Amino acid sequence: MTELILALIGAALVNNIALQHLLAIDPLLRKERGPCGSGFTRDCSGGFKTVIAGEPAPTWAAFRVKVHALGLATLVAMLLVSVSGQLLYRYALQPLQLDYLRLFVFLPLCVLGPAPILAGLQRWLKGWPFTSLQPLLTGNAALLGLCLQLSGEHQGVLHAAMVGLGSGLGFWLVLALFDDLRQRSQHEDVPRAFRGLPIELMGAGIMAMAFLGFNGLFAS
Amino acid sequence: MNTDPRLRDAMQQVLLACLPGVLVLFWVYGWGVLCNLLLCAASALLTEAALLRLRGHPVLPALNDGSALVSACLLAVALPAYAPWWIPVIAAGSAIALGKQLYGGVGRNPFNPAMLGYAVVLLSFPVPMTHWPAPQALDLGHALQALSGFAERPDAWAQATVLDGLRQNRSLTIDELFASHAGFGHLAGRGSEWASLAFLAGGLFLLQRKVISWQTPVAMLGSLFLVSLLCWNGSGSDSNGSPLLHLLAGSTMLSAFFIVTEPVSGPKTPWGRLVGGAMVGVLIYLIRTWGNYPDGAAFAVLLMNLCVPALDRLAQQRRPETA
Repeated sequence: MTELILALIGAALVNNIALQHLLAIDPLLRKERGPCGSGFTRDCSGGFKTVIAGEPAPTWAAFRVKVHALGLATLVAMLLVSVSGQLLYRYALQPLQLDYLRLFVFLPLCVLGPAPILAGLQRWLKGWPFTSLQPLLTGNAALLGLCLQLSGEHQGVLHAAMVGLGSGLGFWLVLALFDDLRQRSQHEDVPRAFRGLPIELMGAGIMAMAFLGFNGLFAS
Repeated sequence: MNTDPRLRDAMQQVLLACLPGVLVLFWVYGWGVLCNLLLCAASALLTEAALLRLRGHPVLPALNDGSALVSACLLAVALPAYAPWWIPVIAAGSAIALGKQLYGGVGRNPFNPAMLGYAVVLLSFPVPMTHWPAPQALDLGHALQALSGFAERPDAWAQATVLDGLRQNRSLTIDELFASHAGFGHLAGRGSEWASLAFLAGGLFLLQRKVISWQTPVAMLGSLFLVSLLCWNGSGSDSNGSPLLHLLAGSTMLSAFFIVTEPVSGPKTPWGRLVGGAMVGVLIYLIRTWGNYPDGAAFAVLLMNLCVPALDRLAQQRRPETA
């Protein structure tokens, strides 16, 4: 039990999928910016409108909901995809000695998985803008990376579930913190050459440095 | 653009409050502390001037406010004395460049510049960063040699700090450790315990002058005390160290009064300050006891800085309920 909890916290903080493995950087660094600096304007239409119905303009809170929607969707996707990937690998590919085909099994899983997950989440949480997240989740390298990493670890399915859950929580945490940092680093005083993406990359680097402080903690 | 007199006044008081700690460190470790101070100050001021010029801002008013000097001074006392010269230079340079000017200069930095510079050198040069000299080990000539980075060091030049000694200890009880280990003094590190007390005195001066708010240091020291009390497993050979030792060892006092209290990168609301300070205390204990690094203040402060907007939001949500 302790090992499972350590695997969860370790995947969330120490081996953070975005900061230490540099996967899922793409959804983290979206180029389009909202009125308050949040990374999502292009997808303002669609499901997003339902949140702000009756309000004059998209508020900061509404953009924040979008950030959390992406975090929650990634969390669920990581959990389900890592568990199903591990099940397929251990009980289908390995008995048939088809280990070398794992990439061709994981890839369709990661591309096809997010759509039903997003649809299910949308039905459950009606106010949240899940449907517009499709392109962000489908192209998410973290899902595939997680499956491949787990298939090399020779651990059980429960361990895979814990790592998937931890990675999702870690991604959600980093996404929320990064959105705050982005808003603090968007103003006139930043040197012109560094405005926008460069300062965000610097921020992500400093964030990764801060998370290195967890190194060595939560090791079993 | 003129220098803000209030900022300048506050920075002067912070420098004044640092003075007892610097003097004690000088008394304990000798010339290395002053070399650190000089190198850090020169590197910080030069970087600041060069970047301000590149950005087309007036140089002199910004240099005059003393904020670069304060960052340099805090870095100089946090870095090990007699570190090779490139360590203070790189630390102060990256503190000013990455931590301050890149984000738009004074009043705009989301991270504590000094701790950002410290983290950069700690991650880049992990081995020299753990070499704290034994008290009064080197005279001025040897100090200059040590600075070059190529000096032949006398035996037993460097010694494990209290926190390292505690972490690597496998067989001795705490009492035996204090009696036999050269790095241990009366309550914590030999020599450095006095520096901690001097920083405590400087911090109390800042509190009395209302330069810093009381919430962050009190919350940080309180949470560090509580966590180390809860995790204190006696004085056996597997001891995690007593609360008093954790309060006086490493950079605890320096962090509590001079680093987490930095107003720009820290929380703005009283409740945010309390929670942020407590978070730093817990993280410092976790990292220094079970982590991979000699002391956790730099990472703890950077992680707290990341959480500042969330903390302030929580505090503001709280206010309508209490009012």
